[in-house]
Amino acid sequence: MGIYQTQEIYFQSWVIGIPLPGTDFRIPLLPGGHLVSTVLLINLITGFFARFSWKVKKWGLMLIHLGILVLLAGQMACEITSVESRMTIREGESINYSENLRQVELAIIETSPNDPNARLDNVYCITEHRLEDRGSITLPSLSDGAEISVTVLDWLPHSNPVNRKSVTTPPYPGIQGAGQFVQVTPLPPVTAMDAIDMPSAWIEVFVDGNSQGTWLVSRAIGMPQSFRVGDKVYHIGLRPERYYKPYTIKLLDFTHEQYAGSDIPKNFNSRIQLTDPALAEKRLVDIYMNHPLRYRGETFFQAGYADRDTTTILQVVQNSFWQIPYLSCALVSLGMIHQFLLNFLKFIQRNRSQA
Amino acid sequence: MKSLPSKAILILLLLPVALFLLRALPPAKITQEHQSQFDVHEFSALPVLMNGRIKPLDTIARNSLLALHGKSKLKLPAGPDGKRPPALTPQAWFMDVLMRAEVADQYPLFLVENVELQELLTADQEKAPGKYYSFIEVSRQQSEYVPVAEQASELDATQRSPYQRAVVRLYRNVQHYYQLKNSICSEGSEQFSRELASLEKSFLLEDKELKKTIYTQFTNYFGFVEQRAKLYLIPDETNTSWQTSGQAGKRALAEKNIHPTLMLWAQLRDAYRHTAPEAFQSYLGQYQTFLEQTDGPALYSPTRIKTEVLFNRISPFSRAMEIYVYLFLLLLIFWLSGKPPLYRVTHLLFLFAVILHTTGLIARIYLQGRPPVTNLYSSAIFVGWGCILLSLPLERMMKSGIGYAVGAILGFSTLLIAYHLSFDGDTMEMMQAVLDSNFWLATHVIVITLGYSAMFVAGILGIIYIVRTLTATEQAKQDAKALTTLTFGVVCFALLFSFTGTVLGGIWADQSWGRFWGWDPKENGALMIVIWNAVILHARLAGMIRDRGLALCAIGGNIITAFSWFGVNMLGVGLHSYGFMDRAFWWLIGFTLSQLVIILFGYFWGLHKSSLDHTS
Repeated sequence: MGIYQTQEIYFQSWVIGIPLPGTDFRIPLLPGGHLVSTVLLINLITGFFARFSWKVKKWGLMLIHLGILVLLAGQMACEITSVESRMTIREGESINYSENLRQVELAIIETSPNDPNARLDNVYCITEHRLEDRGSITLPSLSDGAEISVTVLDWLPHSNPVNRKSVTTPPYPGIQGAGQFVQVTPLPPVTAMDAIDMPSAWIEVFVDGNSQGTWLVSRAIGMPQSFRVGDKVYHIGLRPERYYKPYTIKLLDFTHEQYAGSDIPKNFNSRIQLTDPALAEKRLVDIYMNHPLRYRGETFFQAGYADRDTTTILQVVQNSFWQIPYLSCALVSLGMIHQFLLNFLKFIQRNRSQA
Repeated sequence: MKSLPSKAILILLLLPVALFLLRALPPAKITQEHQSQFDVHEFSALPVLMNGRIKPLDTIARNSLLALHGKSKLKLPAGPDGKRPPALTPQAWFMDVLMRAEVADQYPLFLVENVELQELLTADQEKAPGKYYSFIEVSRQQSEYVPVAEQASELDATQRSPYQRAVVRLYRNVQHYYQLKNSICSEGSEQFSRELASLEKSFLLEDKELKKTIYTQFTNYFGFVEQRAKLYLIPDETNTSWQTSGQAGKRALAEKNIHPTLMLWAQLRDAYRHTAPEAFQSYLGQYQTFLEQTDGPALYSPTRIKTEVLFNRISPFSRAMEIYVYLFLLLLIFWLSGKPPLYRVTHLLFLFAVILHTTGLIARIYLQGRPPVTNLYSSAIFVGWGCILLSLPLERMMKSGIGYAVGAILGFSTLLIAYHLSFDGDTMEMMQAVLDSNFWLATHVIVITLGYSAMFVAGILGIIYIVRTLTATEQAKQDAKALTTLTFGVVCFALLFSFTGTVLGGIWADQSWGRFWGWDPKENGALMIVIWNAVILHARLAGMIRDRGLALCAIGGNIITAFSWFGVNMLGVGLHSYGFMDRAFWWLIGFTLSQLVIILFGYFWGLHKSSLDHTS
């Protein structure tokens, strides 16, 4: 099992259970990380009233425990709310979104290639959680767009697409696009460290109530598939979930330094241009080892590279509670200093009385 | 003994120590017929660049022999006269590798421990399977093992079978050796200096056709060397960088000028091959003069190179290990006999060991230009150092040699671990980019490592408590009481350091990755230590455990610390797994079991004792 799954099951959960075969019910076996922390938190909080005495002498100890309490609470809040995603940028390319490699979304892009006045496309996205539930989904219609709805016929969390053999009959009637040539077989979810799932889905798309056929969408199919209704062209595809930003990041240069006469990496550096029209920001930033960029509550750090050092991969961590550990650190330090000073004074007094 | 004054005993005991230290000061004598005619030690002190660090040939010789052969000397088989020639020192062996490859190829160099691979290597030979194989013997089976190695290299290191691991190891070792022996020039060149001289002459040739032919030949030749050479031998003073001889040769073609040091390396090699010690000495002198006259400091630091050679020769950590053993034996004799002069000797010995250990540590910091802990090897050295420092105040409080015993046992064990970790190559390798922050290396890593030291000190105090309470004398009871106080103090210290270290680590993680905590295995390991210490303290303060319980819990801390230190690296996952290794896995299991046995024994002995107390 990979780190990611382990974390999800053991730490970022309330109860660790084993599934009862044949049902969705899980038999609770062990408390999960969140439950353990909550119990610890409650214990610490009640400890302040039940056990600690409020004498000056004990302030140090109390501060230390308060610091730990803050740390625990902050980390729990952080774990529940933080989002990790990635930005993959080629040299010279500008990007205004990051991608969550662990989640996919179904994107439907409505374009009007023949309309000279249309400057923007309409983009509709359906999250993985909604796709998992299968069934019919009606998208909120935009002012100039058609009414679109999608019926998820089948959802495969991890799959292996192969070319369809001519003898096998298609699973659904009226298949359009890649699904005519490709068949997918379900696989158990991946567990290896760097591997990712390849979800696929069979969907039927309706525009203004008319079926546009059944489509196979898969993460394994890189290119979006297209169809035309009237003068509008629709592109559909399953892609890593995107988080759009109100700013763009352009990769100017990526450098990969090595120590002389070796292939041991010395430094990775992404020189980027950050452009934020809303805040009138435009600046050059170097993101390199131990020097991330913090911007609008997110941290961008150098996580990898590709294509012979011409593409950078930045990890984007959204963590609104990053200051908490510093606060807790200060509390614990204060407590320790208090404790130390008290003991030190005691020691000096004892020495004096002995003398 | 009684008739001897205590001073005489003191001298008698210190004498062997002085002797074995003196042993390290003069360079080891070269007894080989061929090498003894050359100034091996001056030659080994020449600086070269390898794997990103400028170091003396001496270091490369030692590390390579240890990595390929698994031993610090190379024993040669008996000659036709039935006499065994003396074992080769790393420096002497390395001279043959660089300059007389055809001789070095016959040395039984490569260590192969896997029986299956041994059988493969001896399949169509009369030789019986053994542990060591020469390059020639290995090359005969090249077509058999190379495909296996290439296939296995594609696999993840954790998924390889023991056989595959052995094959990959051999494959890499052979590659390393092959690159080393092709560093000055192609190993087949009979007289490289003459070839270079003919190239120099061709620069003046009028005949364009002939010139072109010669150039093409040399371009191919230098290209061949460039692809293979491991060492960056040629100091390039014009842009203060180092080049391989292949690169220098290509440049010579382009600039119509052969770099003087390329020529000197060729001449050194030829003089060595053709047993011309005077010529060798003169070229060596010229090379040294060249290094002195060029802008040395920009290219390399001569004092660092000198210090490193001296450091290698003295090997302070091996010396310190010997002293720890001797010290522990003396303490045992002291406890059994109760002679006070013996105790006085241990003061001196311990001080001596501390000085050696500390000097070694400082020398490494100077040589590397880094805080003391940069990899697993240096962490072992530093944990040991922390332990001996902690044992000094312990001894002041106990005054019965127990503090020194703690220091000697832990100092020896950690240095032994370090020694076994040094087989992987250069212990002062360059830092991976992710760790490249002297500030955090000097704070987070140091504090965490001192936390490990404290954990092990507490653990061993726990073990001593169990041993001391086997008897029920009045002295033993007093000692046990004192041990409990000390253990508690050290556990507090360990909690302080591991907590601070973990938080500092979290802050480093936040500064570089934007998150304080990521449930990475190394982070969990550190957290486990913190939690364990907190549990011990709270259990003790709440009266859930008493003296014996405290001792047993402290021994449990040994397991947790060992796991956090080595176990998580064996998992081979996460952002911190910078030192993957599988060799130590069984040792870790064994250590854990031994600690469990001690805990169980201590627990039942306690039960047994209290039932005795009740009945009496």
